[in-house]
Amino acid sequence: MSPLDEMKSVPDVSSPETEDVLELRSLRVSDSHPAGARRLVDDVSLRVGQGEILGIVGESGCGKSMTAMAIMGLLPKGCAITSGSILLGGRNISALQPSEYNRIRGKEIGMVFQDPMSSLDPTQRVGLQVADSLRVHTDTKSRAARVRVVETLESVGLPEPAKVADSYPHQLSGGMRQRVMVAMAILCGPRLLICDEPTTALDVTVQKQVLDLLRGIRDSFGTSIVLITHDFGVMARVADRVAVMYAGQLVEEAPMGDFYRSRAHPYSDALLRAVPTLHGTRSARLWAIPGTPPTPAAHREGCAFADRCVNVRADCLNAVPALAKGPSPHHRLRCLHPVEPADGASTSSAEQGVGQ
Amino acid sequence: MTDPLLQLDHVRVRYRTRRMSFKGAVVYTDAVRDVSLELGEGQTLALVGESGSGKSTTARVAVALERPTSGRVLFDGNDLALIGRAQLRDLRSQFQIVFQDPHSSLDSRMQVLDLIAEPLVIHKWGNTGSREARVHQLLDEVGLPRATTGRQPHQLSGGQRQRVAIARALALNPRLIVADEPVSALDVSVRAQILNLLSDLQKQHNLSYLMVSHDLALVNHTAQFVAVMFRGSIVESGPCDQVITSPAHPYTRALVEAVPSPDPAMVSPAGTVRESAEHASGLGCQYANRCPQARGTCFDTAPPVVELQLGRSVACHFPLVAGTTTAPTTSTPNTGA
Repeated sequence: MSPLDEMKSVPDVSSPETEDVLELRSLRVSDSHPAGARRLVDDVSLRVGQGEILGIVGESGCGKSMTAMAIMGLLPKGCAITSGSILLGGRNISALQPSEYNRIRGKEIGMVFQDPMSSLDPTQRVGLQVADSLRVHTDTKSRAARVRVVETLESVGLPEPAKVADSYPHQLSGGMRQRVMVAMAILCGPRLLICDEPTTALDVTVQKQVLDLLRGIRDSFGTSIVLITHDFGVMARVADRVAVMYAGQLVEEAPMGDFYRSRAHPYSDALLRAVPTLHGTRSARLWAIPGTPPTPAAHREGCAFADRCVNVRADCLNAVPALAKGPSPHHRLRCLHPVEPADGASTSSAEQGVGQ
Repeated sequence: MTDPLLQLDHVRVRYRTRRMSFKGAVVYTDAVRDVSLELGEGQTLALVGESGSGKSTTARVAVALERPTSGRVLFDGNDLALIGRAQLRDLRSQFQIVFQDPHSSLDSRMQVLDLIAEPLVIHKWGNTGSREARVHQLLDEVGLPRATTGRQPHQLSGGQRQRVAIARALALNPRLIVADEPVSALDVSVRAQILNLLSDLQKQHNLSYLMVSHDLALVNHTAQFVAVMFRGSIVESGPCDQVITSPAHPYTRALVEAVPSPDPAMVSPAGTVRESAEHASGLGCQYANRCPQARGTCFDTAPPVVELQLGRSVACHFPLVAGTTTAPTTSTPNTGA
């Protein structure tokens, strides 16, 4: 079963049989906790097709950033991939030496982080910093590099790109800095862009522009994007497909529209309901999820969400549910007792997903 | 309406910057310029705006953590600048503040018991025994187990820490609570718990909330009234549902349109806001540089505050909603929503 067989919302997919740009196979990342290694990322399998935007949502500690770090080969000290593999364009990159990773990072995988101010060197002009990856990965001469940098700064919607290139980071606004980060990430024409909470530090009006920019990059260059966020609003604006993580595990995955209409995991459902919206009724009580997000554990007996779940039954506590087929096509779900579709959009019985 | 509990009257907060002008004169910047607002008993007023819009400074002025450079702050009719120190100290028990990040606002070396009892001690309330009883009562109210008293903040989750901060603010039975981004540091699944708690407490104690937030959807859910701030001024204010469903100021409209909806079917069209790092000249409308419908007047004259209807006003030369005293706007399509 491949959730990627169809990518209807992706424009200009040239070949009918699209190759996966990124594939995670049963990826497991553990730390070296004194009380025993804890699984930070637990058996995560995901695919990202060419020109596809995959959104990974979850709360703090759910393993979404760890997954991103693992893909980029930037796992913090003490954390390591203990099993599974990461395939970039079919090539296993999970066992690469750091020096080999350096050749991929920045060239084939671009990265955009949350806080542009701390990702940029305050003492260097922006243009030079952006050009760094060109110097490292290609033998572009400095004059040609400058031209390329200014072009790229222009392509991310910065007014007066030459002036921006000569500025220091503090002279730019938060939104402009994040555009610079995006320019830096796409400069070498990577196939994959990893964006970890790219708009969390920005104001809403600027957030919207940066999200539209990411979509635009996908549309014009066919870049695949993994977007990590805790905000379903951000997700809905850009992602083609959503993966929800909880306690290191993938609990639900579906195309964006299907997910919103027929989400079936009680956690996804509760999370969506807990977010106030502009169109909701005012001063009605919010749907609150009891308890707190779990801390990483060595291993789990049953479903990680069981203690906060409204649908919990005895069998939830016995074994970790398998990631099985969900209520709509291309929908995967890790739940024994899913919730009914939110507005009856899906006709298939939720019980079908329990199979395996 | 009866007299408001809190009233800000033409408040201005001016800071001295580190910069010097070309001639060596000290340069000042106005964090808050000419802000007036009212908050009634038992009501919630939200201050919304982007970072640097002066919303937090306004909130700090309201609870006397900051002195206005000019203008008046009245709490229950008392001018905070005119009353004596002792009187201000007494009055402080009636207004409390809850900060954004309970991690940094709670002393990490203190136990929960002492953290919650601290305001009681400062205001010489009761004795050790009665204070402990009060702490237990407060823990019940904010939904924390009594066993929490011996814990330290680092042993608690973010949501629990924010509950401690709320218990601490409630300790002296205040009438006004200023909440500065009370949930933005919390996980999504925990935010709803805290917002529901705040709303329950408001009903039980007839509390007034002055809430600072950048999240319009959250404001829509929790507040009756909203004041939208931009570069230190209130550009629009009024009942929350009206302001959000039919914004009168172009900036409010941009804010409303920028709120991301989790429903992919409701995703708004791309870009209407212009990005500009340049500040407007001191003369005209502060928003003119970014406004899609700015005209000549906007750049040279500060817009007057126009009352559209009772309790709803906007500071714009060409408001998007016709008021009783202004001519209707021409070409701009209205966001009916």
